[in-house]
Amino acid sequence: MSDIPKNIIGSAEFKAIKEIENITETEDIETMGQIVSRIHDINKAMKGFDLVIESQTFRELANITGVSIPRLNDRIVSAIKVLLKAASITHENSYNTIVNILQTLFEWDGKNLIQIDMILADLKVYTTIFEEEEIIEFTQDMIDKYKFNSRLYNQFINEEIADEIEQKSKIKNKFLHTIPFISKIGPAISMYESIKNEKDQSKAFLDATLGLLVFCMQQINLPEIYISDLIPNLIRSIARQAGINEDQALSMRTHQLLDISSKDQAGEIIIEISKYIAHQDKQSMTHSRIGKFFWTILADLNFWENASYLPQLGMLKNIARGGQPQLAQEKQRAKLTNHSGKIANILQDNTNAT
Amino acid sequence: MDLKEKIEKFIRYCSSISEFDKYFWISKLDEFDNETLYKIYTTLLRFESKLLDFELNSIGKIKALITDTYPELESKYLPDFQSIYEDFKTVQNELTIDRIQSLRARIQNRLV
Repeated sequence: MSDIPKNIIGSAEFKAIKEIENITETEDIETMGQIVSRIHDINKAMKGFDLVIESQTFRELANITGVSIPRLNDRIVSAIKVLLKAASITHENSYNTIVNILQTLFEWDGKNLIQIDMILADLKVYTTIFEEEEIIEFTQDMIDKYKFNSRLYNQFINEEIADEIEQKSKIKNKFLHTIPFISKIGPAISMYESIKNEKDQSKAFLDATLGLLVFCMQQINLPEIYISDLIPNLIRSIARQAGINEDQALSMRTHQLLDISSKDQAGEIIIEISKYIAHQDKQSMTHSRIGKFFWTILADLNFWENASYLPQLGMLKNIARGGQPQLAQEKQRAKLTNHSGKIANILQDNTNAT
Repeated sequence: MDLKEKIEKFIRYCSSISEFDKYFWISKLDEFDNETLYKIYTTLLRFESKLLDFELNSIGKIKALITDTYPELESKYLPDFQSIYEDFKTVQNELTIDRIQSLRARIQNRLV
């Protein structure tokens, strides 16, 4: 929502490192490493403080207003748990489960909810008028072709819709008025499709959950919010639901959060997602169904272009690796910032020496 | 601009509410009376001011750290930081979201 980048300390750190590197001769590299490390600590302290303030503000506003609805992170985790608990899947109950989850997630936003309800109701009516295969074929075609990518979708709307209206069959005409919403309901349809056709139900649940998260990201629709911000907060939410108090969850180290999260099925799914993001492994992403969900949404958010500046990426990578020691984080971070590898070399030397 | 609009704008641009929760609070504003809205506004100002104070102090520490070690960077790295910080202290008790944004923007512009 904000026009000014939120993380001005991150920018201050980045600029400071750049300036130091511009003036530092080879013999000063050790000093430079120390200074960079101390600057990084200042940034880290700021991020901790930032989270504490967000948490305090939310709690105080909740006290003042008497509002008791859980935060979005908590609702997402609850939604994942609902999905995981559903015992059997049929067309009807998967549809209802999806609708219930969406309602749980977006009850705070009446406008969106009405829109989603209308779309889903429309789709339900169409399934009684037309052959189900025709609808599935059409919606799947749309999803595959545009893959929730809003830029391609807009291009389609601007350039091709006139031809589509004239040339396509009755069923497609009937669906044209729902096209503006297809990018929004896409994940829900994919969830239905995954669940309906998959023999391995636990895998179907996983795909459906991931689809749900993608859907959340789209609904939030804020380009400055990245999944990398969402995941550490989801893990903190798991910790809170496991009985850790708010302040403790904020001050816990990655490996501690990871331990708690890995004992919870929903937590395992969140860790799984973080691995796809943190490894930035294009090949595995494009070869798995789960990966495709994330590859598409991250590409749409220009995630990779901005990844090295993201404040939480270090933590994500650490989560994906299983919470390795601080030095490994520093090395990774040094590589990420891509400052001619000097810092990475220092850290590598330190590792070798120890 | 009435109080509700003021708060809505504040929430949109502040950093003390998580981005994920901003829409939630904005959508709730219609339900609150003026007294509650006033409390919300003062609460937001207090936390945002606290956050900005900590941000500026952190940047001040980074500046001090690098310029103590590399004095030649004094004129290259946020040379007018002190005046930005003093401006913040001057208006600290009369902050508006525009002033907060303006202070953050002044720093951001010097960091690109």
